[in-house]
Amino acid sequence: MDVLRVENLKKSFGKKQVLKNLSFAVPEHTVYGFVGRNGAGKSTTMKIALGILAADEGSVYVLDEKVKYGNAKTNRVIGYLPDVPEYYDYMTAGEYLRFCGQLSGMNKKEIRERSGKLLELVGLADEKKRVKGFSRGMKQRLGVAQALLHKPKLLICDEPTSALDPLGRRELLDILSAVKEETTVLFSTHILSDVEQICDRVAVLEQGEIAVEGTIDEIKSAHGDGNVSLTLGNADAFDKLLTRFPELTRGMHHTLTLAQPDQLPAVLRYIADENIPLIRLERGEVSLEDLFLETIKGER
Amino acid sequence: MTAYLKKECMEYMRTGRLVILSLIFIFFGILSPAIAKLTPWMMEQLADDMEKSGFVVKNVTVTAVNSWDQFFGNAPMELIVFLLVVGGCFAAEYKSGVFVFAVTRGLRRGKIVLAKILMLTALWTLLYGVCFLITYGYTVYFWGSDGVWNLASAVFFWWLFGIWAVCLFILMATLLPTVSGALGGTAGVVIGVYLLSLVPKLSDCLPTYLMNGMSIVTRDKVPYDYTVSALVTGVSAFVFLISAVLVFRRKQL
Ligand SMILES: Nc1ncnc2c1ncn2[C@@H]1O[C@H](COP(=O)(O)OP(=O)(O)O)[C@@H](O)[C@H]1O
Ligand SMILES: [Mg+2]
Repeated sequence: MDVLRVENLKKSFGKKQVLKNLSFAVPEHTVYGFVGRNGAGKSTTMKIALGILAADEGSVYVLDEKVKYGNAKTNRVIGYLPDVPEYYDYMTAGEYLRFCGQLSGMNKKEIRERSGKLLELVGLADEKKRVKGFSRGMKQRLGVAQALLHKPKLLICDEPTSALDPLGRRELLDILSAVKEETTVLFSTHILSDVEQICDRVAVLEQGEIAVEGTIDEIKSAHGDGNVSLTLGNADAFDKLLTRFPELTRGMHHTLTLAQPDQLPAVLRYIADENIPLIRLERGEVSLEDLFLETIKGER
Repeated sequence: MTAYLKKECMEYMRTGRLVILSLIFIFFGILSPAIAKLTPWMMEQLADDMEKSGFVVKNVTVTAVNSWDQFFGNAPMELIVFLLVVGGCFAAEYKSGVFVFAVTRGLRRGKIVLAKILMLTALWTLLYGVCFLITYGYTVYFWGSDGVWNLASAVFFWWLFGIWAVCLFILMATLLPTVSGALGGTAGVVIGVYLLSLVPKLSDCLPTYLMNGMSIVTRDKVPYDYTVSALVTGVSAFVFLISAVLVFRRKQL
């Protein structure tokens, strides 16, 4: 089942159309990467899904219930981590979670058990300081705990890693992939290595529409299996190969790169026939980064 | 909503705002009788100068009435200080996005407004009450209560005016996102009402009329004369509240 379904969403700010015709669906128990450059409309989409921003057209469904602007009932099953989570400075992490739990209508016992467990998960269990003295990473982690408190079916995180240092990012990504069992995660980012590390599916938002969508493997294979690089033991063979296969390009350190892997058998046969010493054969992965840049280039 | 109210209480305590407000209101509570007490002494100090410039200073006798005169004279200042200190209670939460947060957690918007109203009216009542009790204690101790009439009504009417201003402020705060906007809007309306009250026919049915506590204390008027004004104040305060809830419901947070 789809936990979140966005259908033909349109939204303009003044003359500027941010979302043109956005549709995508997030299946259950996935970590879903929502990728787009700054200003692409990621936060806007999320806010519409949370009912805190009104869409111009189109609709969003959470567990098949339509999201209404204003007092969105669907928020009961959503946990939200805003891009810049702000807290009441004068509370401690525990007090803050208690406040959140009460807002969500949880009872005392549930709140105590759940917040103990979550503070453990995000590594803030022994933190006695008030939020005022928290680092950004700590705030972000408290934000995750807060968002997971009421066992939401969907966790929406708006660029949770963007403001963090590598260590903080690592910790946060680990937390997000750990919660996949309990919930479905939709998280936006412009950092593609994050997506590669933890996401099951990705959607790239570009020009107000989804430019690419699918599992990471699907996307990679749809965009070519990536290149293959050959390292040869004999420099003389370079020219022979290059004249025979103009598709090859010369790389560094005695390597040749083949952009189209479907040529590979032919190349290998030739190498075998000519007795060219081959030291290494390597399949280079396409990084999402490349794909992303390619997509954006294509769209412009 | 209780959770949100608790949070509000915690906020006022931990940010020190409650302490500041209490100190200020206690200070004002002491100030009124103190000034009254010191008047004769000050007059003596000034007497020589005044005589030279042609004034004849008679022996001034201070009574409880002078103390209450001071009390009602200071009340506008108290209200202004109060609003200045609590003025950020909406703006800070718009800015930090905690309203958005509370709403996404399922807190209904109307309840946010109601919680704020409850908090502010409770605070105003408490602080104004403390201030009154202090002044009352000193005044009765020094001068008794001779010549003081209808004190309870006068004090109540001023309290009601304070509540009206608080409700107005809340409406302004739901309309305008900044502290200066909310306070400026409130001040604007109060000044507007004050200007209206310069029209003789209107003056005694406007909220500002309630500020003349002294008139009934000295029996220039009777509490009954304030009925229309009190009704108008109560009804408009209520209208402000309803509008605040409605505005906040549709507001883009
Ligand atoms: N409240 C708003 N008023 C006007 N323009 C806005 C508003 N919110 C967002 N925008 C514009 O919409 C675009 C998309 O914003 P956003 O969804 O925050 O992008 P992202 O989160 O992908 O970086 C931006 O160009 C931004 O300037
Ligand atoms: Mg954003």
